[in-house]
Order: sequence, then structure tokens, then C-alpha cells
Amino acid sequence: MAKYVVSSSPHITSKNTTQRIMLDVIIALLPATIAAFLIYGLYPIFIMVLSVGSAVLAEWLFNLITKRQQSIKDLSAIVTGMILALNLPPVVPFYVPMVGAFFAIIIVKMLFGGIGRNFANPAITARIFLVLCWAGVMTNFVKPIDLSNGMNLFSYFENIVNIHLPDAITSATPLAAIKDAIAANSNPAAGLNALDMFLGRIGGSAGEVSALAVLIGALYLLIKRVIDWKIPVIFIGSTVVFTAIFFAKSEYVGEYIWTYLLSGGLLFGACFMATDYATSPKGLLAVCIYGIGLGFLTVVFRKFGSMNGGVSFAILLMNIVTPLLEKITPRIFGVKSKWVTNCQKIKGLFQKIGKKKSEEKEAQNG
Amino acid sequence: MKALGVEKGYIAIENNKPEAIKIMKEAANGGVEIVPLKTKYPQGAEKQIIYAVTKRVVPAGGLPAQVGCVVSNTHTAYSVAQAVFEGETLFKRAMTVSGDGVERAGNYWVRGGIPFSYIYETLRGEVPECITNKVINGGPMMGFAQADLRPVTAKGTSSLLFLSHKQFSEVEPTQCINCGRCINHCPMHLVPRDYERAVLRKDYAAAEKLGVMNCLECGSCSFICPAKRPLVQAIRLAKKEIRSRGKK
Ligand code: SF4
Ligand code: SF4
Repeated sequence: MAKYVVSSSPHITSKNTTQRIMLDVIIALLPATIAAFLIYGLYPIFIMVLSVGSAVLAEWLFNLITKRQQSIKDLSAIVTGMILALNLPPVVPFYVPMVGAFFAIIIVKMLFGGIGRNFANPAITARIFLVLCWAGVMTNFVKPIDLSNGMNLFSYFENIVNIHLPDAITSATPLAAIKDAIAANSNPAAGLNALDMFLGRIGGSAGEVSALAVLIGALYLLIKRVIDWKIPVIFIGSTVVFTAIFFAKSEYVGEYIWTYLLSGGLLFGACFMATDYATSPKGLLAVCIYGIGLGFLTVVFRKFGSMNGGVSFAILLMNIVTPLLEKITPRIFGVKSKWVTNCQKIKGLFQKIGKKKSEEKEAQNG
Repeated sequence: MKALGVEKGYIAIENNKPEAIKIMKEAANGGVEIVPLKTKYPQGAEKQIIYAVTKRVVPAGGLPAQVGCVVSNTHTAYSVAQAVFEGETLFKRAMTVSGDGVERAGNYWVRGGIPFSYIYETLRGEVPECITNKVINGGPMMGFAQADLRPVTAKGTSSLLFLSHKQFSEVEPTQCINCGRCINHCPMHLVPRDYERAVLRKDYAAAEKLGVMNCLECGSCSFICPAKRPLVQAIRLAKKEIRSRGKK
């Protein structure tokens, strides 16, 4: 009998665990959650509780029924629930987040094999599913509340089962305003205020409105090295570039760029959803293609699409392309890339041709 | 350098040992170049150190000599010097003994052929025996766990670790979350995640195609994995399987 524990090396491992990573993501989502509370009151928080609760319940039930090991303690269901809630309009009927969370966890995540195996980001897919089911509800955005009256924190609860929000409390999102501007060929930034958009005092999805809160969360993830800077930066950067290209003829290019940058969940999507581990590629080249593809599709959907939510469609599409991009594996240390060898071959070919030519010339001259 | 007919010699020292760098710089006096390197695992592996010092890349499956380099670790260099200049044969070596299980941890000159149990008893001091739960011949990342203390020191025994429960990890692996950390940390730019998947499918040919044979077994991938997947362990299995098939 062995006196000591015998196992294969390495004998030490890092302290990082799946649970720890998910906890970091939850912490990073808190600023956006707090912003939603400050802008719309308690109702979005109530929606988030429903969404997280349903997500965890769904995963627990699924594991129970299929007799798998319980996986809820890795906290990833909580992350999915939070992201979904932050992606919804601040005021939706109570069953919307519940249906969404069940869809995200059961259909998109668990049926494909659980954490790390989902084919697309669960929250994004659920959001798109909800838009298709309840288009009216999912495009009704309420006005920010006036915090100076404390009672306002409890506003919107009367709309808990209300599918049709009264016009008095709804507001157009900046993206919708921009779309109208494209049609009318007028200034997209008219009536929009950059500071309001940065802080989130606009209509929009609960967690996406405040660029500031999203950036604080993203910074935390970057410092903790939970996400890599490349995907968000390439995504946002290429969105800016493609906006400039697509609207080059318009006299309001500058306005299009900054309004697009600060609206429609671009920042939130780039930092929290495009970086989802399971559905983003890993190699450098693949990451570049992924990021640029995201930016390109976002602008295309926003300019030509009839629905709002270009970012979610772009992310869903690129998620689906990811398995293909994953085929581009990193170059093994010490193996020359095909590109280099091919270049050398071509160079050799040209040298041969050149030699032949000069020989021919010499023959002619001589 | 003379024996090899090379012009340039380097001594690489990790930059967390500034005193060693200083002393060696004075001793070398410009004869060989002292290169401080970032403290980074596994910098000491042959191909990695050649790249770090000279930026030359050893072709996959090739030998350092192909890019005109020979790497020798300090202990080998010392033994050669002893043999050539002092006429002393190799019968002892510097060895690191450490871990919670011994009181007098440190570096010692140890002769070959000493049983591990002797070293343990000599250095254990007051620490009770039950503290030691795992004995490793070698380093924490690549060393071999020992079942008991009967083996003896050999010329390759560079360190012995007597670890307590707290010091080594024993965690249940969970499902791979596809985070890509193993891929980003592999010094050979390999794809450990895909090898493990192939091994679980028993598809060793696929693992070979993805370059599993280039693995150094450095353990970085298993170390970093947040889901604690036994990645190198799977890779070792794949390599063994591929080798035995190649022989048939
Ligand atoms: S053990 Fe893992 S990290 Fe190290 S070379 Fe092999 S695959 Fe890469
Ligand atoms: S580090 Fe672990 S969890 Fe991450 S991709 Fe590799 S095997 Fe999967």
C-alpha cells in the first residue's frame, strides 16, 4: 500500500476556479445593476430577481431530471440570469424574464451539454427569442424616473402584467431616433445629449443604458484578467470604423459615430456577451476576424435592418461562426506558418524565373 | 565553448535573483554574457530558453543544434568543470529539500545512492511524520510522486519535496468552460483543451494531428485551468498511446 498520495504532476494548481471567475463576472455586473436601479427604480431589480431565480431553478431542475451532477454551484446560471435581466427593457410583464431564463438555460445551455458547450450566448439567444415572441413588449422602453421624489422608486409596479404600456411613460430609444434620422436624412444627434447617454438617462434596456456603469464593470474584469481586451476593443473599434465607412457620404458622420457608440447596448454586448468563453474563438487571428465581423454586422443590421438590436443579432451570428474560426489553431512553437513557407516558395520561384530570364538575355547577347 | 567551437556564451539567470546576476556579472568580466530573464515558467525548458536568449526558434521536433545552440544547466556545467579541471568524478550533487514536512529545508550537497528515508529523517527535525502526505522527486510542476521513501538519490535527483495536505491540490475536475486559458498559456502554443477532448473520445490520431507530440509536459495547462481539468495527464496518455502504436 502506498504510504503517500501518488498522482501525476503537476502537483499544484492555480487558485482560479470556475466559481471564482463567475463570481468576478457577477461583481462586474453590479455597477450596471445599480445604474438600472438609480435610473428606473426598483422594478428592474425585481425583474432581475425573477430572472436569476428562474435561471438557477431551471438548471437545478434539468440536472435533477436528467440525473446529472448538480452544477448550479458554479454560479454560471446566476450570471446568465443577470445578463438576461440587464438585456430586457426595464419594464416588462413578470413572466417575460422567467420564460427567457428557462429558454436560455434549458434550450441554449443545458441541452447542448451545459457550461462551456452552449452554441451561442444563452442570454442573447433568449433575448432574441423574446423579441420574436413579444415584439411589442420588448420594444417598449420607459422613461427614466425622477429620483428627487423617493416614492418614484416604486413606480412601474402597476405595470407588472401589463403588456401595453401607456404612451405617457414610454420613451423612444436613441437607436430608434437615429433610425428615423437615417430615413429623414437629418441630424441623428438632434435631441440627444452625450452626457445623458454616457450616464444612462435615456430609454433603453435596463443594463445597457449607462455606458459609465458598463465600463466600470468591464475594467474590473480586465484587471482581474477574466476577459481579454482584444475582443471588446476590436469589436468597438471596428464598429466605429464601419460606421464611418457606411455613413461617409452623410454630412453627420461624426454624430453617427458617437451616437452609435453610446447606444443600443454596444458597450455592454462587447464587454459582457461577445467575450463569453464558450462562444468566442481563442487564437489571435480568429479573435480578430470575430471582432471585425461583430462590428461589421452590427453596423449593417443597424443601418439596413428593420428591427432594433443589431448588437444581439451580430453576436448570435458570430457565435455560430465561432466553431469554424476555432479551426484556425495557433501556430505550434517552432513550426513555420504555411504563409511563411508559401512566401518562401514563391520567392524561390521568382528567383528561378529571374535567373532563367537573365540567362536567356546573356545567351542572346552572347 | 572551446570544445564546441562556438563564439558566444550566455548565462541566463531569472531576474528575481538580482544578487546572483550581480556576482556573476563581476565573475564573468565580459567573457560570457549574463542575460537576466523574466521569471516565468517554463522558461528553463531548452527551446524556450534558446528563444528567450537568442530569439532563435528551434523547429518542432528538432534539436537545439539545428539552430547552432547548446544548452547546459548550471549543474552539468559545474560537474564538467569539476571533472575536467579537478579530475573529480560525479558522485554528489546540489539538491533542494523543501516542503512543510521537513524542518530544515534548504539546499544540500547530497551523494548519489542515499535513500530518501535517510534524507527525510535527517532533516525532519521536530515535524511529526503525519504532516507529510505527498513526496515528490523533482519540482512541483513536473516531478514524480513517490509511493514510499525506499528510492535512492541519483545524479538526476535535483530536489525532493515533502508536502503537507495544504501544499498540493487535490480537487475534483469540473466541466471545461472553454475559457481558452490553457491555450493561451501553453509555451509551445498548443491546444491542450482539444487534446483532452480527443483523448476522452479515444481519438488519438486526432490528437496527434493537432500536434500533441510537441508537448513538453510542463504542466502549465493543468495548473492554470479553472475547471481543474487533468490536461497534461490526458496528454501523457495520448503520447504513450501514439508511441506504442508507432512501434507496432
Ligand atoms: S503540458 Fe500543457 S502547457 Fe505544457 S507544453 Fe504540454 S500542452 Fe503546453
Ligand atoms: S483551461 Fe480548462 S476550462 Fe479553460 S479551455 Fe482549457 S481545459 Fe477548458
